[in-house]
Amino acid sequence: MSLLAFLTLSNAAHAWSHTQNVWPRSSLPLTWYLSSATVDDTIEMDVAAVDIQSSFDNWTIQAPCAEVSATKAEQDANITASFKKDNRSAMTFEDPSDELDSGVLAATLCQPTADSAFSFQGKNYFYTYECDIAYNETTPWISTDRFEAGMCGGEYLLEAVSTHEIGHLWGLGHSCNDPNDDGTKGDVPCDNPEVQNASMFWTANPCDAHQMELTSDDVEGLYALYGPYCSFEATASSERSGGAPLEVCFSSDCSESPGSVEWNFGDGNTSAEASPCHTYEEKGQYSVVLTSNGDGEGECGAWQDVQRARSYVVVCGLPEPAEGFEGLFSYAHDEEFVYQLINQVDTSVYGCIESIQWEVYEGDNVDEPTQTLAAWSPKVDLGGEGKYRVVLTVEGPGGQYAEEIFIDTGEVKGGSCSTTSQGASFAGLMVGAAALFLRRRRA
Amino acid sequence: MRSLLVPLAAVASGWALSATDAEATTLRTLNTGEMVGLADLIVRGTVAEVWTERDANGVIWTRAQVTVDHVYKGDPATDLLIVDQLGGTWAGLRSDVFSAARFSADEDVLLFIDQGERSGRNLPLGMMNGKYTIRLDPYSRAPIVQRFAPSADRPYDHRFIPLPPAAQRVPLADFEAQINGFVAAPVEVK
Repeated sequence: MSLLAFLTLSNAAHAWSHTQNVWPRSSLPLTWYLSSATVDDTIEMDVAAVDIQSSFDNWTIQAPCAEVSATKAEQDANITASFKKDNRSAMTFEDPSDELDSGVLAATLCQPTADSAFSFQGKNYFYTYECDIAYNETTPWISTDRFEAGMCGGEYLLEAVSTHEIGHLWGLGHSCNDPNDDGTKGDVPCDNPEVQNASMFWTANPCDAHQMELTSDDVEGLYALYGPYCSFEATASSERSGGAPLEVCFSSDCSESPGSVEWNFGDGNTSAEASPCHTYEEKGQYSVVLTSNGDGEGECGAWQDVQRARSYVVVCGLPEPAEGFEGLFSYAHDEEFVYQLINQVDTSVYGCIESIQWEVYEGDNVDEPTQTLAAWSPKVDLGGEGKYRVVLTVEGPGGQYAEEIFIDTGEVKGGSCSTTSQGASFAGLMVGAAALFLRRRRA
Repeated sequence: MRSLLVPLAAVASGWALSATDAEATTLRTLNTGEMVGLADLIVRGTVAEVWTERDANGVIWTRAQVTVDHVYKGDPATDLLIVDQLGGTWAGLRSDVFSAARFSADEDVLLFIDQGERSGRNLPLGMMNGKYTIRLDPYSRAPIVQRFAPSADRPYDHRFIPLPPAAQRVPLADFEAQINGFVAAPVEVK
């Protein structure tokens, strides 16, 4: 059976990420132990040990070509022994630092050495020195045996959560960065069922065993760390963020020579060249995927490696109003001479706005602002009757853009600006602002 | 539980300055009622300052001082609350924590806080799940709440986070009504 057949790869779901820590081959197989000091009311420690070992075995069996495994060592009487340089990983149900709040089921902390393992997508990966896994002692846990006997009544399955945590221990991050990801173009949405079924999805539910079953996403992520791989990065002369159009050139670095490669640039374009250049025409965040295929003998000989860099390319335009707005900002009268400035700048691509400045000028003064503000949508107290000029300047990789509005407090104070609907707000703006927009391109 | 000796040695010798600790978790799936039930404190306020510290166990924490404007549940004792979140960069040592809440100065926030029994630390409940940014929705011109946490290797500035899609914009007033309702009639959380 080839690796390709085993993986049953899907082009739809590549959502894994890495912690940038990886065990050196010389450390494998690992040994681990359950701290003798651990106490949990809901599961017996000898049962917990069996389930944790099963969690390691889930990775060993379901991702065989990575050849990762761990075996339980004799219990250590003193937890500080886990800090020895013995490549043992301590499992504990204690949390002396109070790191696990009630919403966290378990956590894995891995300590790297200073030995850089390899450079991967422009990031340095380091060899892991030791990991600890801590389980929340206030969480109700259930063993696999009791779960399979239908006895789960809202507890969390220890083997399922452990399988997820051991994925972290190997060096995997979460499939889908976080619950509210930033909508990168070309990414697999976090609400994709295939991604949510990954063991390394970021969340777990009571009486839920699905994390014990690895998906292709989990296996790909592990093989990228412990199997043949082709890393890639933008060439030194290429910027990965900037204004559109943006040309980015890529290079790859393979641990074994691949027979073929395919690049997916995240904007619908692909290439089979070894070191392609691609021009991004539209603003957005783009994930880049490099799929490499290699030949070889034996069960794990033929290989396919899928490398995916999330939000790798950020293409920005000049700052502009969000959809439905004509200007970068408007305002509403709050009270007396206080006005709510309403920022309408498009923020749909995170990273395309890097600085903001509001300047308030009194009367005909154009040299020295009377106020300078850096909040996104600040309230401003103009201080008295008169005409004021408010300038908003926003800047990002796509350039700098400024817009100004005049406010006549004498007119607006008794006017109708403090409204809540968009249409009415523009009516108020026209009344109070003398309808003067000046847009200046500075970049 | 924590590897005390290793990180301290790293500081002393300086050899680990370019390596990064990584902490990753499994989070509970919690709805608003469950979050209200589990939280010791629920407050609204403004982040005054953000900094990092390293504790006696060698763990790096990002700390945010929050000026509390309103309390929905619990008693914070003072109107200045220090909220702790795992991870951050301290003296050249970096600790990446997946799913951690992120803070920036002058950010208006609504926080569900779990108070550590041993340390007394105020932790966002369920990490990034327990921290909401309050911002003005330019369309409705009303404040809304949203959760957003870029990956640890990207900078965080609350001013520039993407506005949620229209269907996902939750008015602060509606969210507060939900919270107050669950505070008055708590749901049972196992």
